[in-house]
Amino acid sequence: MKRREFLKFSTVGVSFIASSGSLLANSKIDTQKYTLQTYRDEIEFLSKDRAFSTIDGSSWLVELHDGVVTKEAQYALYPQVNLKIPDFNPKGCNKGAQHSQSMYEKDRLLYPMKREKDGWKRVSWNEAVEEIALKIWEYIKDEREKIAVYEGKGFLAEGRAMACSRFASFLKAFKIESSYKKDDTPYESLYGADTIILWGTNPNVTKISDAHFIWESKYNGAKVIVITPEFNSTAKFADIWVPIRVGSDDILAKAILKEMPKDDVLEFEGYEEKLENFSLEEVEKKTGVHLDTIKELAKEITSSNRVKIIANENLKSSWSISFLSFLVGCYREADDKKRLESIECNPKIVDKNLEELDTKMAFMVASNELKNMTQDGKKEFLNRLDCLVCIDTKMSETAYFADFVLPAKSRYEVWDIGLSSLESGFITLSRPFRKIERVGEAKDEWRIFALILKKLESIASENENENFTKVYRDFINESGEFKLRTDKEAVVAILNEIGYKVDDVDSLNGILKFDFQKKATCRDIFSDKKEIFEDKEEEREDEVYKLKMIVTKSRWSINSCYNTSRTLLRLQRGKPYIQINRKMAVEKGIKDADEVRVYNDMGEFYAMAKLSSSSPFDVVIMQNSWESYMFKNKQSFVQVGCAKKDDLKAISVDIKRVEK
Amino acid sequence: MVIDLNKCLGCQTCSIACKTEWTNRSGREYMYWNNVETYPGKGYPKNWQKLGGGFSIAGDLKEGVVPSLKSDYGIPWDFNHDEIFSGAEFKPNVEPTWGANWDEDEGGGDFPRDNYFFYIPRICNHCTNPSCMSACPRDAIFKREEDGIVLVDLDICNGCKECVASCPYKKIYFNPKISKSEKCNMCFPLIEKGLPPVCAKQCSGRARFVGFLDDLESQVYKLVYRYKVAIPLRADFGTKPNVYYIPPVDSPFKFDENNKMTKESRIPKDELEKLFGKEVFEAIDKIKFEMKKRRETRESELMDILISYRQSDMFEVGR
Repeated sequence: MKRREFLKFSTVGVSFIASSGSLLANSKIDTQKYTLQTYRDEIEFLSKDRAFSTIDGSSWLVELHDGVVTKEAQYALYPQVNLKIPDFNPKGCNKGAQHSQSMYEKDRLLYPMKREKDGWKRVSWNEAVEEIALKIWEYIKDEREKIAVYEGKGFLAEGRAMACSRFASFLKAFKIESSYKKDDTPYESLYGADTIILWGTNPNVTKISDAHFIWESKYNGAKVIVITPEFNSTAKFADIWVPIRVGSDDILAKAILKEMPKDDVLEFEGYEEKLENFSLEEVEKKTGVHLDTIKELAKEITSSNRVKIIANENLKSSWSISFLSFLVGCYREADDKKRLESIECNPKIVDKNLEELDTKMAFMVASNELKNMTQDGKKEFLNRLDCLVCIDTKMSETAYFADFVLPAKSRYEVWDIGLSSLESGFITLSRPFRKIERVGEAKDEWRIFALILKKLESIASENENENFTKVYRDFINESGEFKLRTDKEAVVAILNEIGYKVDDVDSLNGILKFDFQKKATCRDIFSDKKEIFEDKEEEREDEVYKLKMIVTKSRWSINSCYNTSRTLLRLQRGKPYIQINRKMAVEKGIKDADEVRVYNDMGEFYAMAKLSSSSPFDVVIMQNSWESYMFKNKQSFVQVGCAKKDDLKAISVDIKRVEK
Repeated sequence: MVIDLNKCLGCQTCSIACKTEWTNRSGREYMYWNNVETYPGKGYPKNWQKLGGGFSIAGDLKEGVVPSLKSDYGIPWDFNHDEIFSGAEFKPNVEPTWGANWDEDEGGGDFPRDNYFFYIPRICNHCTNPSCMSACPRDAIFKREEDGIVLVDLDICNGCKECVASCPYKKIYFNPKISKSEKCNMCFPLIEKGLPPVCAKQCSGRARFVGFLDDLESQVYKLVYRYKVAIPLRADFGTKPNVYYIPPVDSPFKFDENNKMTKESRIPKDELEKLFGKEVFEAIDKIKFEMKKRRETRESELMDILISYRQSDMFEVGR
């Protein structure tokens, strides 16, 4: 490297301030060498070996020392797709950047465990598998539909998630999938837009790896409009921020539609009728949005050449918001799961909450659904259930109440394949480094399910039950070309299935460029399937509890994944907190960091007050990541009746300062 | 380094990358060589802008205060992860009172009329006129000639903390385990290999440019000297910082008392001036002018630089 003359722009300052230092500099060379070498050695120590991994659609380059993962960085080598569009690098977020620390945290599950009367008992894999297979046998031998497999959105990319589907398929079990919807918008498609409307979303927090496209688009000439009740990280640099009253999004969209010139709005059956008897003054009152702002939004949508609307997944059930998106040509159906029938084999997917299902045995895989249940709800659910098997990497609310806990491998330890960036033309691949030291006795899901089904197959054979005498052999695809016994075999089979030719899977790097035929993203659902849209029930003013509580996704976790990370907790407040408007706090006599009781007639919980100018006066804001056991008395925010699957629905509550 | 505040997402991936690389061990646990704070707010360490240090206009060192671990940095909390198995409540081992991101997204002003906030990522400024270096009684702090990186000589430092008090940015920390001062070293072992520091390389918002100001072709040169849109933070401290910021250009319009949108930006001018000096207004006007030009003509070299089509273009340390 060329010797730098860094100081030439500003030599004056240095020469007189550091004069004595400069005179002595030569005599210090040796001691400086010690300092330089110390830091050089430290950085070298951390990066002895390398491997690739996938986290939530991002690819990571992982570094190890003697089999222990020491650090990671985004594998920032995505090829540029179009020279005039910014590239994806470095795709990956703050959670991924600390996985090397989380994976060795003390709540990591290391061994199979069984719940006994006096607490947990460590068991061998053989014991666990045998007991679980016998339990399954008990339920399926006569009535086979009492088992449920719940696949969470946690740490599974598609390669691992497909193991759950295949397991459920051959077990003839119900499969339930987490209803948490991921924002799968290809954000690179925003680039070049004239107007970007972010409705109910906060991509700077929930889509960290791709949010840069918004601000690059703004530099490229786009106007950014954010519509959210709270002033958030994305709203802060928007051109227009529309502070909408909680729950009135659908009404605002209707009003915008009504304000748009008729010829801009397609002839549409039922459209006129939906906007009838609708006065803008009334809208102003309900939404808190000034009439002029509504007109400006309508004008913006009508006059821009390229408008992009990204709506919160939960808002897509609003006909008006979806129709607006449809009009500007960017309606997207929620479709964040790429299905491969040959691998998954058509599991019987039911769209129900776990609690609603009459099931005796449940497998919870990478799922922490119990976190979303109130204490009573949990009790009732567990009473109905005979056996709960939890497969996870770390302790969680769900693992805590399970009968069996099976330790899964965490991201850097397993083969996996991520298809969520497929539409952008990429696949991400996790390839564990072979020298990585095993953490406890963790196994991958493909192996775990294969073990269980092998045992089940032998039990079924002994009992001459025809339905399950081939269950293991079918699961591993014994007669097929590609076997499915391990995570690695599954990745090879999936690559083959999607048409990616692999000679040597070990030679592949973290990102695979993939030529994906984009399918039509906008079919004419507005005439065919009107029933998918609910007409939003208007929220009633609560007479007793004057505040609204909303629960937002957190910057600090992917749902409950990483919610116990020490590194991430230290960048928050170390315990659950609730955002309260500063003026409201004064009225209530609450100071920052005070403990507050949040309550209504359904229940209560305690949290630390975080006073903020970014919350509306009458709205308090929680984040969705916290486990019940992080709260005082283990009563979490769901106790006040928070709608667990609808981020945007507000609950009426009141708050009170707790005297010390 | 040039940091574009308009692109910073506040995600702290930089802080975490730095922590993983350097400060999650060895007495550095409480340190954030890189932190990101929400402004307005007290920042990290708490109220650092009021803790003194730097130089007076006459060029004299100004007195400063060593922040307290408990109240200004905040003791880094540990947790009882292993006790969750036996049904315990999960808790920090000390009651949290302050931390590196305590003020996160709080901001100032009156909701929704004129409240506002933005993020300021901070590392050691590797000043041209470092007050830590001037204050050190043992001459243990040196500035490398080849790249301007300021380092503490670990062999000479005796842990007197004069440098901590005298740094007006409070970006030098006392390591209680080795009784010496430590600070951001700009990942110099990476710079030596032509690679950017981890905070820049891992920045999810693509907000950080790294290069040498004497390289007339570099992005940093163009941003600082040609377009004059990158300005140091609190230049009035007199240390001649080498980290420059693209100031926040836009914020949503304020509302009047009838909830009607005005044409006035939310971020108060006096706050911007306090942080970045009078130059900030020219910089903002320049960027706005170029943004308008881009909107109308699709052309603008400045916008091309700020957009950065390839992340690798943002780092020019290997040339």
